[in-house]
Amino acid sequence: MDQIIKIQQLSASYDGKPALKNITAEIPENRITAIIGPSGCGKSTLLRAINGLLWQEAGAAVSGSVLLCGTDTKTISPEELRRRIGLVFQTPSPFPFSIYKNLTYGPLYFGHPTKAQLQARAEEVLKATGLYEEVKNDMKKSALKLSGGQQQRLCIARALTVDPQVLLLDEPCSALDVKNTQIIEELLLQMKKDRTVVIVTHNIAQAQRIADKVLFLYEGSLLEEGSAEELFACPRHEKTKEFLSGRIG
Amino acid sequence: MKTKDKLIRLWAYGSMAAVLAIIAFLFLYVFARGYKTVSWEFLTKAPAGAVLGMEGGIFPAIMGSLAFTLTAVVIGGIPAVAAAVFVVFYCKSKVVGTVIKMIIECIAGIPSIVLGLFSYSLFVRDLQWGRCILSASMALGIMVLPFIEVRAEKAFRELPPSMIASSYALGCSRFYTVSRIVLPACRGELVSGIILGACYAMGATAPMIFTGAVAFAKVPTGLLQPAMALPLHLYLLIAQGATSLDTAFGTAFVMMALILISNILATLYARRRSSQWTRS
Repeated sequence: MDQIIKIQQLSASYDGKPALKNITAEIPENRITAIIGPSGCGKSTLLRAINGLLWQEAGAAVSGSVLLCGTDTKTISPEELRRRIGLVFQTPSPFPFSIYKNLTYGPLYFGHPTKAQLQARAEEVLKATGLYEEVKNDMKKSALKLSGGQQQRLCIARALTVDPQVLLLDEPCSALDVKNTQIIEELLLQMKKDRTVVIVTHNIAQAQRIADKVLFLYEGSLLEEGSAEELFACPRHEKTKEFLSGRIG
Repeated sequence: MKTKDKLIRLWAYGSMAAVLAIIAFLFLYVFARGYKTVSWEFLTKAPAGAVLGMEGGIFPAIMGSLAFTLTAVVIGGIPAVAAAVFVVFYCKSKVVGTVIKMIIECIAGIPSIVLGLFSYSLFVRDLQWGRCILSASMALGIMVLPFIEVRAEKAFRELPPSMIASSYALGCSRFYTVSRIVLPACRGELVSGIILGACYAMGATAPMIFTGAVAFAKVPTGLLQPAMALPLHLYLLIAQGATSLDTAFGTAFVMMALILISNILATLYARRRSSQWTRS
């Protein structure tokens, strides 16, 4: 199994307060990696470090490195890095345009595609996220008028329009109902055929259902990592056991 | 506790009623005294009479005021929006952001007559532009700059941060994000802020007395000409005493109507735009 991302001795702090402490980990290619841990343990910070957003945040001091396919991400331009590593946020955040314009926003920035190419790309990502049948006759409808679950799937579709190698998702289902959560989980399982998925989740059951590999963070440190079966079946660290049993959360 | 609640409520409602009554009385008084003077001729003719303004109309003053206002809004509005974009989306240093905020607050605190004096000494005399629309509009532009900047900055800060972050996360640059998402999404607030700034500039007299507005001029055809302006015309009519008080009220009527209509249009536009945001 190839490791597409290597995180090496990554530490980060906000205004002197440590958020990540000396993290070293690897993310396997074409697999789903789940980052779990109690609230405020640095899961989202780690995600933002992977796609380089953390380096640009005011008040954030970062050391260590993240390698994408063996290249230090600091040597890749921020735009190129984020095109290759997409990020979907916790709250569905469609742009205040039509569904179609949401999906052409990225491709128009990175090139000069023809109308036919744009249309084809939009349809492709809508099909990939299972939204196509629901919105195919309403492509000009405001994206803000979609339901929460549809908006989140649109955000995933929008992230796919620029064809990222890795897709990071920051608790994408925390604001959604069971049905939409299930749709997104199926979608992620489909997606790992073509790309690597890293998902931050608070939901242990969700990580168990979809993850191949799991990283357990606690107070900014990576306490345990391993394959999903291994980590859930016999956690080694005391804190992991407490977290999985629901005693800390 | 209940009596206290009632008293506070009474005080709040009473104050609101008093404020509304004062505003309504002011408008009604000016409109009642002014409406007889306002006619098609008054709106389309130049002032005339032995004492200027006793007869004729205020057409050059209306056109002059529009020219001053439009130029001022361009001069002040563009840097105001640009400053707001910089502070919200580009400025990473807290110190620089605080300094810019302080400068803008300082500009907002400059008395308008001082801006008039500054513009007079720099543009009218030193740069020899003379008394003209451009000189006056520079002073008016500086005056409306903080007014527009504050509104633009507020609109930008109210955008959902995750929406902006989503654009960056796609790999798009700040410029692309600002031009394709931020400015279109805030168009309602920006236009309404600019119109309100225009109303503010239209009512100001002090910055233009020495710099561009004159007692009588034809309808301006260029920015380097002096022009009449409604507030200065109003001031001169009142200064002339009882003989031209009716035309003064007529002029006040027109000025207030222009500002009121602009205000209503700005509010409606901003509301229509913001309603497009909400999920229906």
